[in-house]
Amino acid sequence: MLNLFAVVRLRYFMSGIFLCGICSSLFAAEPASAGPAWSLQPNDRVVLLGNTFIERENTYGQIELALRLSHPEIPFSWRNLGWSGDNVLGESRAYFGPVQAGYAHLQEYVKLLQPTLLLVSYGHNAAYEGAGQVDAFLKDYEKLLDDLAAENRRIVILGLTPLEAVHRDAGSTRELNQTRQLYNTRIEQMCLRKQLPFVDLYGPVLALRQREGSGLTDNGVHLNASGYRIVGTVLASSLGKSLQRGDELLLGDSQFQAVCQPLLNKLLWKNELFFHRFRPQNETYLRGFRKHEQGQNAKEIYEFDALVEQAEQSLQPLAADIMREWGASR
Amino acid sequence: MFLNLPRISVLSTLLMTGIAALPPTGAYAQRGLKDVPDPDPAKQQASFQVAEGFAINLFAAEPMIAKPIQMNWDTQGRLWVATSETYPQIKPGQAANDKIVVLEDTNGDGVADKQTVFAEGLLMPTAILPGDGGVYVGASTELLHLMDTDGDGKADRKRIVLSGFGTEDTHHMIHTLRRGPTGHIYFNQSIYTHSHLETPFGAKRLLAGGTWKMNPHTIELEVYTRGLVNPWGLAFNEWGQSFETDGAGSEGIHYVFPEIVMFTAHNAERTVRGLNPGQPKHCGLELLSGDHLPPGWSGRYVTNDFRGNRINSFELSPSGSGYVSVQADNLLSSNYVSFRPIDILMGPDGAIYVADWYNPIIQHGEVDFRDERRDHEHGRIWRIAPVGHRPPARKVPADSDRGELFTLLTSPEKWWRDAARTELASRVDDALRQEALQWTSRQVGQSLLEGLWLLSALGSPDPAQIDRALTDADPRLRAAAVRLMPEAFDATQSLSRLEQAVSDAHPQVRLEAVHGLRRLASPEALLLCTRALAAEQDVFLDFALWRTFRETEGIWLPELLNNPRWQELSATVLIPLAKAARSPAVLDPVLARWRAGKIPPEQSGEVLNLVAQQGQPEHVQALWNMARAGNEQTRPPLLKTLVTLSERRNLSPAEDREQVRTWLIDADLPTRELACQLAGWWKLQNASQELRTIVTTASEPVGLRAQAITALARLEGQQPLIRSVAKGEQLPELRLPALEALAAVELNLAARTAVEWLGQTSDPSQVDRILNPFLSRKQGPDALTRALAEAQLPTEVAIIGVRRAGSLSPRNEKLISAFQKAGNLEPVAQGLSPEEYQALAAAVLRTGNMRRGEQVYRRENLQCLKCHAIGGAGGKVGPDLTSIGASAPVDYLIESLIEPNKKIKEGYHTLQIVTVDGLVKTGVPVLQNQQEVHLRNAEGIIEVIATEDIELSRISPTSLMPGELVSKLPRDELIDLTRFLSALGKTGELVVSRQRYVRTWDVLNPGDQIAAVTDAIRHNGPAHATGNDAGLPWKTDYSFVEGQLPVSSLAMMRNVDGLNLQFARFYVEVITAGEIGFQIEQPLGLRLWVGQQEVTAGEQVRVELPAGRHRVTVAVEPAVRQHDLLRIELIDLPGSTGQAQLVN
Repeated sequence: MLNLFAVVRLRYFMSGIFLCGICSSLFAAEPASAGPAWSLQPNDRVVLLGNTFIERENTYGQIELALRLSHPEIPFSWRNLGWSGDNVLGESRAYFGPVQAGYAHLQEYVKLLQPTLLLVSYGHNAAYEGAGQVDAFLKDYEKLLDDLAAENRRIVILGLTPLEAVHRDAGSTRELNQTRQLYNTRIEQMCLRKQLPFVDLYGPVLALRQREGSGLTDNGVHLNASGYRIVGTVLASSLGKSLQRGDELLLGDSQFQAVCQPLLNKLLWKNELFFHRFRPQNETYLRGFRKHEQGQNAKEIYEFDALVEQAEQSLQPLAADIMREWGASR
Repeated sequence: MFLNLPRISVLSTLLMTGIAALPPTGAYAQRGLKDVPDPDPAKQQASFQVAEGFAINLFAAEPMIAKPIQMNWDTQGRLWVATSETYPQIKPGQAANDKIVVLEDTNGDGVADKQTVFAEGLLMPTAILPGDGGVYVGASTELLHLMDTDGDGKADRKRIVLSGFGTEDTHHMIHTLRRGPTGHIYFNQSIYTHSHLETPFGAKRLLAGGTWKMNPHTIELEVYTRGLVNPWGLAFNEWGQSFETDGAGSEGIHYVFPEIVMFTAHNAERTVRGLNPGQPKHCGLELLSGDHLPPGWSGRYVTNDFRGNRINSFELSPSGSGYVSVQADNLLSSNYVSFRPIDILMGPDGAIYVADWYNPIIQHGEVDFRDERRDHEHGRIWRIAPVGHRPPARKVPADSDRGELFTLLTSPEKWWRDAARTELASRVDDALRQEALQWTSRQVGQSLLEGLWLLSALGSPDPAQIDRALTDADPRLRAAAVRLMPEAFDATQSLSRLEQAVSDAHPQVRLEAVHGLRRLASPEALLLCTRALAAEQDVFLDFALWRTFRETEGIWLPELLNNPRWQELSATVLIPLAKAARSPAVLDPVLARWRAGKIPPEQSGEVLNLVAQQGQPEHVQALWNMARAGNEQTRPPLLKTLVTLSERRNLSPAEDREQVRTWLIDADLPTRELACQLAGWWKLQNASQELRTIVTTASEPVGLRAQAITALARLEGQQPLIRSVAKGEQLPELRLPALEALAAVELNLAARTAVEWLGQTSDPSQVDRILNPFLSRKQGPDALTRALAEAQLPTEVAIIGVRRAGSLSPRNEKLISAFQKAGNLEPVAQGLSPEEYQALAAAVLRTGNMRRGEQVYRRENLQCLKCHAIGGAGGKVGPDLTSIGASAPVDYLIESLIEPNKKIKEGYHTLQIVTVDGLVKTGVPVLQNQQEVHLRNAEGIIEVIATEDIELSRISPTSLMPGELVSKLPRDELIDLTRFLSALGKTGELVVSRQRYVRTWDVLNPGDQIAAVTDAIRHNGPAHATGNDAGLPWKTDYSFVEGQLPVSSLAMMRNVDGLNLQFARFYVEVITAGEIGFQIEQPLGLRLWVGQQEVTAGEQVRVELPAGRHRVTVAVEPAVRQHDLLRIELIDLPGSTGQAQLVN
């Protein structure tokens, strides 16, 4: 079973590279995973958790934009707990402490936000460790997911994105991508076992990239705005909503982008406010071991809560306005 | 807005008194709590004193620019500046709107006349470097590349190059972007920053301070250096060697190289120090170059003492594999407290540009983020140019053609060489590569290196040209070429070249070869690397080799154990190899060699240290067998090692332990003392009779008896004796060791006994010793508190008790009040009201006297000197105070004195560790890694705690500084003390001068042993004082800030050679052998010995000395000399090869 799966995935990859376009419609229209379906519910508190892939969505805002536009009638909140370089141990969040402190920090913030829908994406960094480390990675990933499970919480796993040969040559990129696909497949199998929805990004992103014809990353790894537009489109599609008009991505249409710009700006401002709440500068002085010096200013961190909520209120009405003009997603 | 109010009132006051035209003085600069200097640039400029031959002018100021942080030039000769008005902390809801500003001087008059805001809306950009078609900007968590694609001068495209940089402290975020010689980009981060980055080559992490090195074309990233507290200076010299300065350190210029580890590095096991210990904090660093500079300035390094409102300069000269650095004239000094020079660069016109953050407040954590005195609107770029220098009209590199750019590569000004190389690299194509190769093949000397760097930056390094450099006569060129090898050669090709380099005659080349071999890390490469171990060592080589073998143990250790070629290595090589290893397996070949007599006796200590650290049971037994077979000479070090093994690692031999008993009675004294310790540690129950005999025999040496009673306490059935001695019922001379022993087994009883004793004593050092066993135990303070409940103590004893309880971590309020009650002390006021602070601060400026204050500072019972250094002289427990007055407002100083826990400087937080044995250790961590933690405690002593012995470790909210000491001072003395501190580092007041005065002394002040000491010296002559330690009670003392030692406080040794003499001594470290000079003020009535050799004390003393540490002893005959102050300076002698530094 395992091997068969790997072969199928490998074929997707090969087709993406060499046989561009053949299966694009398959990915565009169909939900991208065989596991349980997922959905966006009214008043969901959506929280994203992961590494740079998640962190930079906070800067580009395209995934959130896609889901707001594809679900204009559903009010939801959206918070990003991504952290560059992070892994399933929460290593990037440890501040001055040992790795375990990072894990505790991760749990603390998930608990604080009480997500009803938690989108998790790890493995992007682990895949560099090679095929030999995949079992160890999955063991820790499962533990993380078990620790994150809670009543009234749906957890959805987002898979890995493909690398592009930008700074590294085609040969080594191909090898790395093979490992990445292995990790992606194994994550999907774990999700099936745990009955968690899994959104495959690898094949669908590759397919759409072939059609867009431009690079989705600046450095071969991390998505640029086009990359996030495609991921947003794939996610909407996995929710049964199409953000495509014919063969074109709605989010890639320059006129549509201009119309969406005010919404995007507001959404990014909300994200920026939350970033200061989640990762305040000068943490050492505000709440860390030098709080005896600046702790009096730590209250400012909590003042961001109201500002974030306020900034979020206008987003969904704006999305609804836009989609009234541009037609509902199908 | 508020900034203007005090200015008006002060100006009107000054006008009334008719002195408005005077430049501001030190006192003027600190008029009170709510006062800041006039931001008028003309007034600020009037306060500047620039070095001879230079003139200063204002290049740019607000509104053109505000809050500049870092600057760098582009190849068009435009100055790019990162600025932040948001710093130090964004307000909730505030939109970050920090700017990247480009400044141009279009008409060449030395003043910026064009300003462009290239980018705005940024959050605290702290780093900037134009290049690669745009500009790199470090801002908060990200390194960005911003581009202007439509040519309107504004950025319109943003690329996130890297993200995940830490922001735990906004003046520690990534900074100091610099382009390295081969086009790599270097940048720094500081101690509180934890960065977790993703690159196309996987995740990279750096916790705490360090320097990153990035290939901008591939985003390949490596950690170049680790450590330093806040390294805001980075410069490369013309041979590609790199140097750094630390904005929160105290060691001046640091010579840095690949994988060096320095102070405060995360998980550091060993660190390398800076070249100028005892310097103030420095920000920015630039190498001056060009023929147009006033004599002596080209080749110097300049860096900003931003707290002292000064720009210092240093002269570096090669020494061994590194450098020595000597401070030279200040480029600029000022007493304008808002002048905060933080970046410094030479410009295309040959002038020196200084970014002035302009702020009366610089403390980041210690002053409230929202303090009104923080300036958010001003900022200046100053231009310091040689008087009369008119730069030739030249095309900027961006406008030059290729031929012109190649010519520029040979310019005497580094700015033009660097800019030409960067410009050429940006125009890369195959024809240019070919042209560059042809140009390079025609060059020699430094120009050849310029060509090699260019070829690397173009991605086409040329093996033949690198080979030419590798065999050049100039070692600097050979060293630079070694570093370029990985770009042109594969591992095999590199190896044969590194084989040459690692045996090079010059240590700098050997050091580079070690870096290269470490990179290769194959068994062959490491075997070659051992050759560098056999050659002459210095701190840099020693570190690089240790690091190499530490990191590669898994590769070389199997070879050492199995490969005959490795087994032929000499002892000189084997011992440092073993010291670098973590695995005890390395001990087998070492001990085999040692037992076979193949390790020279002088290295025996090293072997024993290795066993103490890593020894396994079989090694311990082997050591014990050797000790039993040994003699008086060989035995004590072996036994000492066995004591260490028992004490630290609970290891003892399994067989033949009885020998200890015999030695207790019948052996030389050192053996007997060690046998006592072993009997205790090994719990030799049947030795109790011998031990008791020693304890009770009055004719036995008291030290031996103390060892014996300590050992007895570890045995069964000895409690009645211990209790009785501890209570003082018998053997009073052993009371202290008995009390210490009792505290380990019966804490409450011991506490009651101690309190009883405290009621009968008044000697302060005695009080400390009585308290120590309790304050170092987890339950000890509570036991003392209970014992104190009904007690009465003499006032002076209770004061000491309060001080000790106050510096416990956490502060023990119960114990403090117990001591206060027992001594009938008034409780110390905790916290003054703002009004009281203000009144005190005003009084400091009105009536404070800095000279009297220095006397208060030096008082022994206040213990300031014990913990703090000025100019490197003094304790290392707290921060160096060299320029505290220039950086800290008076209110901050007063608060730090009275309530030290409120302000704890970074790098000086206290760690509290509870060991598995329940002992509490508190101190400043100086080294922390996976194996052990080194804490510097309040006594300045470094304690090493093995990680496996740590039960609990936490950062303590308590400063080691005992606030009660200062708050007990009479008000006028507190005012004088604060005045003294506020004068430190301020131009015109108390500045540690660049002269290398002797600041740290040993003095002979034997207190109540005076009679015995005088007798000994009188009998044996002065040689008794100048010789290797004859057990004389030398005490450390320090010079005044201005360098003089007050001699009148020293004890008089009467009738020595018929004279009455006072003795002091100091040490000098000779780095390169040769003639060394001292300048002596008022030499009449002085006698001087260098080592044992007396030399004539004249105004200038010259002695020929070999490398190593030398002792200089001075005897003062006050009857002849008639001067209280003794000042001696280490001077350079023109023409001498000698290089030396004072041991401070």
